[in-house]
Amino acid sequence: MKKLVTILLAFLLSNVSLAQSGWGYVNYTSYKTHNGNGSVNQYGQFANTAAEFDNLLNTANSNTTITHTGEVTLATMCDGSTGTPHWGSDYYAIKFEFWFIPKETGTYRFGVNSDDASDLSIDGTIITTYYGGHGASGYRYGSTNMVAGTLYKIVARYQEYGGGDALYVRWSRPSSPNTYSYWNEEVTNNPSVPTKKAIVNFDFGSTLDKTKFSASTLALNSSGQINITSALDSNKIATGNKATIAASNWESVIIYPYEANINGHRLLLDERMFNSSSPKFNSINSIKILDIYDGPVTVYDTSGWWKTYIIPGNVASKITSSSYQNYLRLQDGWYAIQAGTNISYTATTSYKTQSITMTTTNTLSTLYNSIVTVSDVYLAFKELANGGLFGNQTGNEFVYGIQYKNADVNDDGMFDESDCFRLLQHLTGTKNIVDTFNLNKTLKLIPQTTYSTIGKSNWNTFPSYLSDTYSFNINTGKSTDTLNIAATWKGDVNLSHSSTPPSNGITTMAVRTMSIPNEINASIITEVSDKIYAYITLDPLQQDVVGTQFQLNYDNSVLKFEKVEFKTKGNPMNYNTNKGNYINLGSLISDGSTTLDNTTEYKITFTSTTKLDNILGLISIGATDAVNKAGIQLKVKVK
Amino acid sequence: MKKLLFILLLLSACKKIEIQPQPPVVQDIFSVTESTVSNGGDIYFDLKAAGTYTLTMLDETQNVITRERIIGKIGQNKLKIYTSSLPVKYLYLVLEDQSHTQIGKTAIKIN
Repeated sequence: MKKLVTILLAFLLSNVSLAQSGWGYVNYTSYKTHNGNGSVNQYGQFANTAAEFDNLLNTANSNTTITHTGEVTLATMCDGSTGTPHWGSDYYAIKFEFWFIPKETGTYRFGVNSDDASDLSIDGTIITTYYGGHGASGYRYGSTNMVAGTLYKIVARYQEYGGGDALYVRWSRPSSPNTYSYWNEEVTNNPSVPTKKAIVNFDFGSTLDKTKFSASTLALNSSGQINITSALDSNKIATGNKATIAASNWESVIIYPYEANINGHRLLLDERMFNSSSPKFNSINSIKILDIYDGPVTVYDTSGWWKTYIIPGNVASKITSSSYQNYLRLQDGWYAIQAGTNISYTATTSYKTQSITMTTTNTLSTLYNSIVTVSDVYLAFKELANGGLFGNQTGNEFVYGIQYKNADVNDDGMFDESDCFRLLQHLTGTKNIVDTFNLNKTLKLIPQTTYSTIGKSNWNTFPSYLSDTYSFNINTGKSTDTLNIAATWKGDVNLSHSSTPPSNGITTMAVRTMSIPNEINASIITEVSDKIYAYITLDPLQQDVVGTQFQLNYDNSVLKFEKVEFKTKGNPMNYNTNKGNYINLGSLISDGSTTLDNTTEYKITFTSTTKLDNILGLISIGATDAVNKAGIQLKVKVK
Repeated sequence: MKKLLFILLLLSACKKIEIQPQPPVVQDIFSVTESTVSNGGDIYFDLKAAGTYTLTMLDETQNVITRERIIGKIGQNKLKIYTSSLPVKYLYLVLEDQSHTQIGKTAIKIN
């Protein structure tokens, strides 16, 4: 009788439907071991290896039985585990199982501390162990590389023979290897979350450090890729109804022949076949009709008795090959179908529209200063000059439609002199292109397939795409969706920090290439005398330099910017702007009529409120840029 | 006489012994391959001749970040190094004389 009860109990426990609360919860299975009395006739007192642990928890051993299963909070497990329901205070073991979805990519370090033996495995691989009989005398660690957003199965287990008992678990993230804790947002006991997976490939071009960008708090890797599975909302919502039409005894459905202009067939349902409990006609978004079609439809017209929907694609061959020919009647090209009132409805559900929001750890105003530079401004002027005023001609300098879109900084759908003027104002610090520096106003996220279709003649028919948020659909029928997103920036005329569209057969030197082959030299020297001076000089080598830009960083807690004196030939537009902790300065000859030579010198003067004997490091060069007469961006080598 | 000698001996034994303060031991920054510095910290280096020198900071790609012209003196020189506005956390420091001859080079890690 006892045996029967035990078997029944074991059966019930093994089949119990566990609560799956999800984030911050782990599942557990508690065991009575050593027959509950310390017996060592089937295994030893302590697990000294993974195999011994497996054997200790093997219910094929009569000394091991399952006593409890269920879920506890992650904190319960990590903070000692003894709050988990278990057998007695000795001769027991607990196995915790959960899904781990890391927030970061890189090396995770897991630690266990226990009384007595314990181990922790990830996807079946033991990561760290603390085997044998002992007190909880310190954490034992192991490391593993993980990819943000990926689902990992973790099993942590410990066993207690006699005396004290405990299991502690903690881990550290790649971004802070010495900070140990546990984070609810990385642990779930609901393996059905997420039901969909998604990978995003961001193409920012080759210049930007992608790791300084995150999508919905998940950091991009150095290639711009990110697994955003953990950021998806996998809850489906009701979206309408599916009508299933079966054969019956009189005609109530009509299928029109394929029509190219709608790329589909019109399907007509007789309203009189619907009874009062039927769903509204405009809620039908999917139809199954005999063996002819089963899939989504779009509502075409629901105003009359005959409710009309569009079946996408051409199903003519399905009609002629249907096994329901006795229920089909061909009339003037269209088919009448005998379906009678034999129409049933089921609710359809689908995933919500998903979105990810970009953030960056860069100081955006500084980053943007290196994105929209003198090269962009010069190229815009050059395109304008070649294209004629008001942009009614296509110039010779822009290769891609996206360049016009980025150059259209006032977003009026036209690239013209007012855009060039705004770019110039931005460069010289008179007025920035954007009123506030945030990704929402500077970044454009565009589906890669769309990005490559933005042409020189149709660029202004596309929306602005300015947003830090990218929305997408995961109702694709795939288990994993891969999103390829091109990133570009307002004002990035030469695409120096943007995705480069695929080659369209036009070659030009106007657009940045992977490595800039053209180079000029510059030099800096600083000194303290009555004031503090920095001198930047230029050596154009063989280049016809028409634009320069230097970001001169300074420690504003010590130095106060006073002025820039320009020594330049050819009457360029010299500019300088104090940005608080750096000076943006340089020269631009927008019409390319003259060039800057090696007599070019910028003398920057600072004062200090305290007496300084030297200034090593107080002033330094940050981002640089230069452009030649042909509109080619030049690398500035500071020597 | 013996007494006088004893008193003299006693007086001389009671004479205060003056201990000269030792200057702190400082390391020539160019005598080591790498140093860790903090903003506003002092660096030391020795020069064999007085004159005009330059100290250049370069990033890991050997691009110059900044350069300062200084007047050096014979023997130990002490300068301050400022790091809070530098665009990199690891750099090289090069000391050259007026003829651009390299006198010292070391790596600097910013704390």
